[in-house]
Amino acid sequence: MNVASFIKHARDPLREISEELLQSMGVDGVYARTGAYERVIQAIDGLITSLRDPRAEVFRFPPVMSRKQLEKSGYLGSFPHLLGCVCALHGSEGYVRAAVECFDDGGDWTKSLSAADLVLSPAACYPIYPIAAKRGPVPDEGWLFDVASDCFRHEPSTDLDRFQSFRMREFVVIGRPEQIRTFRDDWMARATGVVESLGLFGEIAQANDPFFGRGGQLMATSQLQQSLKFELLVPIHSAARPTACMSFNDHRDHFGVAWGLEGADDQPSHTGCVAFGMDRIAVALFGAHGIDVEAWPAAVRDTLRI
Amino acid sequence: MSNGSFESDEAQIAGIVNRIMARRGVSGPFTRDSDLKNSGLTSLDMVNLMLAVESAFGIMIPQSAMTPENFTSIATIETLVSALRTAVSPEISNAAAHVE
Repeated sequence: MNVASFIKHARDPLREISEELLQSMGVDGVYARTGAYERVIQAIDGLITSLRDPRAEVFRFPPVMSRKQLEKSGYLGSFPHLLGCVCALHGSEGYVRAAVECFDDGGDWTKSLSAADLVLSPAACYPIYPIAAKRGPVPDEGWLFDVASDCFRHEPSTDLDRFQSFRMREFVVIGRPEQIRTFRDDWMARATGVVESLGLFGEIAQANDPFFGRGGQLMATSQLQQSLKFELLVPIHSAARPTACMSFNDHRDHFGVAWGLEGADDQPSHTGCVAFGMDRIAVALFGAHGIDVEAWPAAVRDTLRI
Repeated sequence: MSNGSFESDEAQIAGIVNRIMARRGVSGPFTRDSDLKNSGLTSLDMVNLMLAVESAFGIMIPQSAMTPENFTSIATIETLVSALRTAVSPEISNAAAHVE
């Protein structure tokens, strides 16, 4: 091996990704994505579609959702520190002009902002629950949805496995507790096989969400004790610090109670979801196989059909 | 001369539990050993319960004690409060001894 080859192989693969495939947009965790990167995102999207239950009803959501709906879902009680809220200059022309003049004078125009009725969606599934609730009683066979959106979580970081603005796709199930358990168990059984077909190493582990504050510790312990969350961990940085690229969540009756989702027995329905972190999977692929897709293992390219 | 009013720890805790459960539309009464989770206490309610207990008793619950087991009933919460007070009081006793 000559020196140039040694240096090439010794380069940090994640640095290559950030230099060649993503462009910083001036804020940590927010990137412009090149065509080469998006080609892989679309391939991952196609793979997930091929794995989808044909009964799933498809919805694609914009990157924003109703603030009232997210409040009703209870998000503020769990993750208020992650939420991005859309703000705007409300008021008269004079009020708005004063804010602009404040900016022109070097002042802080954002002090004139006030909350709009929209938030940046923190997860793809939140908008589906009110949509489902409007339909009336949950049928005996339950409901299955395929949802996706750009999501936002306020966690500025330069780590390539922690974007603030990222793509999430989810399969969401609404129904009886045993239907959620079966759905989740089935997906947990297939997930490692899916990532192995991508030439990645993945391991399922019990997990908890990053609940806010001191009380969050209590919620996290409760979540762990009830085995409500599992993640598929893929070593992007290292084996010692693997990254959750998929999650498998049992919400119990949280959204059923919040949204009045009930079955024929008048009991709150349970919900669950399997979530795919599209950007994390893409970064894992580039990190493992290099930035040149044409040089990826043939088996991986066959799986992704690229 | 005392003002004649003294609320036991159990009664104080029961009052906090009643208020939090009432917000969820669940009315008591809850016995000392009523399983609060089975009565409808959610994880978020448990956090609010924990914070209210800290405020009412002037204590800070350490992370090691922030477990659902310590908030299953009025009895377990009372045990926790008592344990935390006992953990604090030896220092108070020592400080008082030095003053004397």
